[in-house]
Amino acid sequence: MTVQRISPASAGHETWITVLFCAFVIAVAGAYISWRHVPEQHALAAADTIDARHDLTPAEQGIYADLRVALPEILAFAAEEEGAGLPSIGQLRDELVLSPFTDDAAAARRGAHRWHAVRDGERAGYVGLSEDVSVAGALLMLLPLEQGGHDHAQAAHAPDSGEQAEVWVNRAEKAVLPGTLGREALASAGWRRVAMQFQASVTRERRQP
Amino acid sequence: MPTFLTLSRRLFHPPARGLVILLVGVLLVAAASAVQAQEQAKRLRIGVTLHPYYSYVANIVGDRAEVVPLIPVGFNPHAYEPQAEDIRRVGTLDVVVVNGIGHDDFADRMIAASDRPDLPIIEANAAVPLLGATGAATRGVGDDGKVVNPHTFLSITASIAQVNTIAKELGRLDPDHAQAYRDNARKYGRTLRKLRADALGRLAQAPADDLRVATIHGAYDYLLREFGLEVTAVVEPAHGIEPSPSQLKATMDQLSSLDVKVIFSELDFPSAYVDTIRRETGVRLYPLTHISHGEYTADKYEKEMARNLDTVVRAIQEAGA
Repeated sequence: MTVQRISPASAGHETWITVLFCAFVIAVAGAYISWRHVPEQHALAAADTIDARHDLTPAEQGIYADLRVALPEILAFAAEEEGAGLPSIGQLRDELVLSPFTDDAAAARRGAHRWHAVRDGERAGYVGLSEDVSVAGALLMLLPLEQGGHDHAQAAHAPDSGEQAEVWVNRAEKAVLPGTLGREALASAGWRRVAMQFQASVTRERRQP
Repeated sequence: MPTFLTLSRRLFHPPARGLVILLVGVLLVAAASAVQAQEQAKRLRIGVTLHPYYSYVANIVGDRAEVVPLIPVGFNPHAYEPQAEDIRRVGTLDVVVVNGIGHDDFADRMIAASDRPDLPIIEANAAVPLLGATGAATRGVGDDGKVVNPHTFLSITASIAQVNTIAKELGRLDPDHAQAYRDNARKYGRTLRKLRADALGRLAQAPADDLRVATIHGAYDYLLREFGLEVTAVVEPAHGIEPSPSQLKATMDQLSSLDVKVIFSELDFPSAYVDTIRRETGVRLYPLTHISHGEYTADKYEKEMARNLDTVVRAIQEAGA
């Protein structure tokens, strides 16, 4: 009697080949993803900066947006009123009716900042001290260097200068300005510069920068 | 040979004088027509994707350029799919002004498919501090600010920033009119700024601290922030999609637990379920417009934003500010 031993049907080899193929596909995909990986855009390089979208409170975001669009008006005003210098807080509030310098319901809800003009010989700007730092910290807007000094005639191209707005925030209970308004002095005194980045929508197929 | 003097005498002899005047007149008219034709030929054709951008650009350029909507009146920009005729029109443009942060993604597809795939684009929001999207818009990508709220045009401040950016970029493309564009942008910015100041001036005091508001569509964060208000919840599961009965029940429970007192609904997308929410929860409803319907006109944005600002003021006043 002939006995033939037949081993049970098995797909051992095929299974191994499939597993190896899957591992290969995953490895290739992983390598491709690593190669194409773009680091988080909002990872800010400097320690003394703060991201406008992710790190500011809602009230601070509102004031920051207002300051950015107020700057061109302030510079244009300074250019038109040659010799008069930068507008006073009263002029910003009553003549130009510029937020966030106005006393209105929005300002009251956003921390009721008290605004003052500041200057250190090199640079000039406006600082708003908050009544409620849990809502919004103190905010400082420094004018572009050529306007911050004495040469206000340079402000003729004011409406183009929006991107030069330099805004700093300080959430200390009693924020104080250092003697000079330079970057290092401000950072040492607890101020952090607000940085804004623009990226076209992630939903777009052909993204602009 | 006649001297200059005798020639002058002949030319200004009465019968000849009329002929000379006529000739000079014809030459002047011809020259003026030529200049006008040249101006017409040089006029930029500026494409826009959404109604507010039509108003912005129309106010910046006046009659110095032509503003051309990419999508025809009557289409909802949230659900628009490019049509062949509209794509052909894109090929005739010099530049397109886009929102660029999620409200007009169709523009890239239209430009790519047009005769001018290299058409310049003006990113109107390039200088606007953007807010992260909330609610349904972030589904699938997380709530980490990667997807931004594209409704910057529903804010006065963000609109002024966009008007300034558009004017600056148009001035680069059309340097002859750059100063006019800048001046017009500033004037329009003042008009918009006054709308907001007037609205805030009607509020005797700030909104109460406990005034919590919700919106049907996640479009009004920028607008409400100008009054110091934050949106506590967004009701609809996706834009234009009505919630199921169980979603509606969950929404009403959420509104009650969050103590929401006011809901800003959509004037342009009225829905019966909104009345159910009002009836069942007692929350006050106020409709706002998304400014995405009707004819494209230069004054549309001002008029509709004035109405939105009035509505928000009324909501705050009736909530006991």
